[in-house]
Amino acid sequence: MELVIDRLSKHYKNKIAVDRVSLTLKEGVYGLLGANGSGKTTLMRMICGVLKPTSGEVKFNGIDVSEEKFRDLLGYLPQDFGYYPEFTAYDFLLYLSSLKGLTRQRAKDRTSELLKLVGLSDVAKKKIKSFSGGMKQRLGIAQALLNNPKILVLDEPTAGLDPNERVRFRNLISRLGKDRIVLLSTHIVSDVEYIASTILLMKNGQIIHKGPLEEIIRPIEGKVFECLVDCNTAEYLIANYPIINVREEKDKTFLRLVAEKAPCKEAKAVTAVLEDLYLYYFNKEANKSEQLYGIN
Amino acid sequence: MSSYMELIKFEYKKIFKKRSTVIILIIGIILTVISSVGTLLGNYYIEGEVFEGNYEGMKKDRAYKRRLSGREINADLLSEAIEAYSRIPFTEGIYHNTEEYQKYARPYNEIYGIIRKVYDIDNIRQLGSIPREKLYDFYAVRQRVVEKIIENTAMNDREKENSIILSRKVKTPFIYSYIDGYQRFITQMNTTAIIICFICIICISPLFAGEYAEGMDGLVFSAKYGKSKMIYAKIITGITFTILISLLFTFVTYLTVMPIFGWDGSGTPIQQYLPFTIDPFTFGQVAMLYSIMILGGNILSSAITMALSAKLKSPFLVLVIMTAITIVPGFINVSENVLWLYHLIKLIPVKMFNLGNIIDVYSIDIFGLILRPYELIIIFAFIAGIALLPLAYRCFKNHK
Repeated sequence: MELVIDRLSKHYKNKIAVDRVSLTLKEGVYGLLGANGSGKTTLMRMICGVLKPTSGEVKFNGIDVSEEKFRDLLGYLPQDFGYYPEFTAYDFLLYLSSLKGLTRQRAKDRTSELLKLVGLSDVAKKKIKSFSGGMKQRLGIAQALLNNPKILVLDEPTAGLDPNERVRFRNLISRLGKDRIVLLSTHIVSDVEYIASTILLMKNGQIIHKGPLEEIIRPIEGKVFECLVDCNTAEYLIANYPIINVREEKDKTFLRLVAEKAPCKEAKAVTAVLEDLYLYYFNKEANKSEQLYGIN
Repeated sequence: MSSYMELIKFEYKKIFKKRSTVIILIIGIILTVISSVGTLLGNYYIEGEVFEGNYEGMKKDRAYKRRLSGREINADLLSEAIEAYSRIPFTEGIYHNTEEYQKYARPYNEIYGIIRKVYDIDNIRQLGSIPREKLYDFYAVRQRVVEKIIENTAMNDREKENSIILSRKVKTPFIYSYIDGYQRFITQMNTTAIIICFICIICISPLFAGEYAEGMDGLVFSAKYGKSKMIYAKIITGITFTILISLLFTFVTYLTVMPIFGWDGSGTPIQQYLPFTIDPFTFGQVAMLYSIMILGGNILSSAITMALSAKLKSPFLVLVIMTAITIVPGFINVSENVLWLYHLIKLIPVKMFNLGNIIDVYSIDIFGLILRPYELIIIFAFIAGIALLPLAYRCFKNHK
């Protein structure tokens, strides 16, 4: 089982959304991390055949993304997707089952099974327009699993889920990743940290890092520091180092930052986690956002 | 096959689950029923006082006309009508309001209509000027007028020849019959056709574009049949929906009009109502042909709607464009002297709903093939409708 993405690019008029991405994905869970606008959704839409690439190709076991056979093996949960508001959850899944080529009986069985799995059995006959955001998201997850896909592409699957639902869903994805390719993108770094066997870091349309958690955080291992400093030192550090966390405490400021060596005498090296790496790489974007919201 | 049926079933579900669809259908049926019997509402007034209710008047006319039914339209009948009308005294007001009209002339109202058209008179005072021998010559006079109309058109010689040959096939003499049911049905079908057209436009415009508007495009395009069977299912749904709505509203019109006005007259020549029609059709045949032509026009309109829906991604924009395509041609009138343009305009769906396409005298020479306007329209509607469907298919499949 092999999903080959070969020099996949998507150009818009004056923007390169995805730039010659090449990947080979095998069974397992792949976590795609990147800031807003880094090209994650565009990449996923091309992998699912929803968006035509400018160049490059996507193949699963030699089957091209444009073929019906490919889509037969695919489950996709888009980032922002709608529903037919007047449909019930049950009808919605039955409809998508018929779109995915399931027989009527199989569709009914699978629909009941998945509604139970995502905890929507009780509201199966209710109209989707009466659902909360989390319920809609769970329904979306259920539809992605209808055809028991070999490739599961999930764009922000845990958005809108409460912490309990998120944990349940993470566990489900972990199980699914055993015998299929699961590619998920999320802003919630801990989700990726917990379940992804391989992490893909995307920036400006390119995959800038790829590997398991231990390997991917190696570049910042020993470079993450925490310190409690006075106001002036804090200002100096914020201006000169990639800051991961800032917390005001009485008359001092707590900082977590990345530096080649201890940036001040109070700084202590701590174990690096994925969030450190994420914020380190997307520091510029993070700072831009802070300026935008007037934090600095 | 079963997967197609499932997908079509869900496409229908998407249409009928919308409250707007149900509301539009109910409004459409109410409008059709009201406009079908609208002429019967209200009263006829003479000098400010109610003379009779319109429904009562219709029943009276029906009784009069049925009394004349079965009689040959010949010099005797025409003379009777002229004699009855001659009893109407001179009046500065409306002659319908005189007692003599009501008593003697009213039963011959329709016969007077035929005389007026064939002998080209403007008012009842001229009736007496028609020589008796001309009444005996009624069918020859009618044919001469028809051929004169044909000669005065801008048609070429081959077209004129075809129209004249066709007009000579009209079987005479005509046997008078009560035809108000069919007459009302044919008249009403123009309004019904526009109602059908708007219902189809409103319900079909989201067929493809609705997937984008609902945010479902990502899901459907990544599904196995999202770029194949589903598109065919949508096209089949659009076309069958149009056929079903057309049939439903045609039957609603028919079943509203006929029981009230009367079922008689299906075998009567159309010339009793429209004396200069050149086709040897009966009312039943015209009603059938007109319904088919309206169906063709609506199928074409729906095919254009589907193609736009697949291309534009916004049901509202499709609705706006289709409303313009349906309404604007109503304001366009092309001179009959520029025949190619005159015929071309009639290929716009809403122009196909005109009864004139069946009853006018034109023949159309298309590279040696001579067709009547309704033949061209029906053939064009079905061919163009079918030709547009692959466009809708491609537009939706190549979605970006």
